[in-house]
Amino acid sequence: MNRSHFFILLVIVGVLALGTLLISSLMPFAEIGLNDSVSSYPGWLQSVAGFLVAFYKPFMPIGNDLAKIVTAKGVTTNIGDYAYVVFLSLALVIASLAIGIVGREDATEKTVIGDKK
Amino acid sequence: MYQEVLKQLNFITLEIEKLVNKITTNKYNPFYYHGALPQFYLWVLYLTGLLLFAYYIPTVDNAYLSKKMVNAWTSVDYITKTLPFGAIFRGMHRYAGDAMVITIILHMIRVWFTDRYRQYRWVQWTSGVLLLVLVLFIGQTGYYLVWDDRSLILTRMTVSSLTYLPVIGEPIKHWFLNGDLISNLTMSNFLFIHIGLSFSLLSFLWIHYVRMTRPVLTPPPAINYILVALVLLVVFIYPINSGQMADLNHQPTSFDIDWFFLFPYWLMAKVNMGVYWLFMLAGVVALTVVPWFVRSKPVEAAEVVTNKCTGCSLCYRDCPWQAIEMVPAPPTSRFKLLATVKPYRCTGCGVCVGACAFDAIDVPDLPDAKVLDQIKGLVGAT
Repeated sequence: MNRSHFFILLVIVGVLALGTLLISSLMPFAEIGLNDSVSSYPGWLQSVAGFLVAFYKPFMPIGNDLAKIVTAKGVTTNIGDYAYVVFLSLALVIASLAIGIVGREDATEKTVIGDKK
Repeated sequence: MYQEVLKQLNFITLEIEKLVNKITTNKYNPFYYHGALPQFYLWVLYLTGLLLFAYYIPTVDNAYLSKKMVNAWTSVDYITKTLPFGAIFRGMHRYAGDAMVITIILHMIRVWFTDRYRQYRWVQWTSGVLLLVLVLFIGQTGYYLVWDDRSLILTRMTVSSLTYLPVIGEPIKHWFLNGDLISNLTMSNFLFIHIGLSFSLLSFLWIHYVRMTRPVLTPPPAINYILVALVLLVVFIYPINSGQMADLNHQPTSFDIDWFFLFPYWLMAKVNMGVYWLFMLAGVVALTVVPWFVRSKPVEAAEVVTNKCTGCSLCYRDCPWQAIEMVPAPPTSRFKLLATVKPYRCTGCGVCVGACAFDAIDVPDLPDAKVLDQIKGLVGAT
């Protein structure tokens, strides 16, 4: 792999990682039903909920869409757990790609045959 | 004809591997870890199973089908609906089982197509077939434990199939139910079979590996992450739900089938019991004897040149098949150890010839110089 390919891959992985970080911050919302109703949040979250809701408002539909997928299959409780599952699997795929990119360097086997004594 | 087809399949398999190599490099090519993939899923099953075991209650008490009763179904319901991440762990346990069966079958296909299942490898093949049968049975017992409608019908179908067997059927049925009827003792037995047999897999894995010096036991982390991610995605796409609580006074007539584990029940429902047992037993026997389908040329085992061997152990360490044993040298020797070859394990591969620095080991029809030429040729070709 030449340097430009490596750079492109690095950028892709970086963007994916940043995306995961941002989206995974939805998890507190996911746990309480993926909604923007601040009053339903636990006390510890309410102090910063306003700020978080404003920041993540554009991402809320993603959480709602995820919730719809599992509720359509009969899930009624702990819906937020499934949001964790999606983001965790995404994070694992990105981690795997990152490890793969870094590890490519020593993938070539270096066999040296010595002279027989 | 059979061998010609195998050659073509071998060629196709290797071409696919080369293609995957271009994408993943040889370091992360899953084809090179085909045996380790099911084992990784076994660890996932152990870990997730441990959590489920902590909350599972193996009883069938269901007076008035009350959901307030503590029994197998309500404990599974608690795990699924109330316990944080319980549904996820349950889903992971279920789908890691499916994934294990898929990867075992891919592993079998790979060793079959690449001609790595016969001659000196027959122990690995036959023990592998036994492992597959065990995994399928353990998986089925997992379905009984949920104790919903499906569990009840599966239990009853199993009892019917066992009752059909002459002489041994009745005692096995008694063992299976832990009595003559379905009771709390039955559920304890199911749990014991499910967990006890799962751990006995480790003993059979030992037999599976015993003739290999350096078996690949774990895929690299990059592949492990993908394996877990796949299971998690399936958990999300197909969340796990239980059916209705089993009612011993009611006979369910249909159930959703998991083709990886429950296909014998599908067959049982389609044909009469005699044909079912014939098909199942014939299937297992046919798979077991696959290594003897082809008449193989006897292997010419390596021979140690006793007066040249220094007992350095290099051949012992390099042999991939544990076919060389270091024994005390005879009193007349000035060295402490002497290499000896176990002919029934030797594959005649010539690795020991390449390892020996003293020309003290030979493979008939494969002289020392020829082995080195072959190795140099291979290295030159890559």
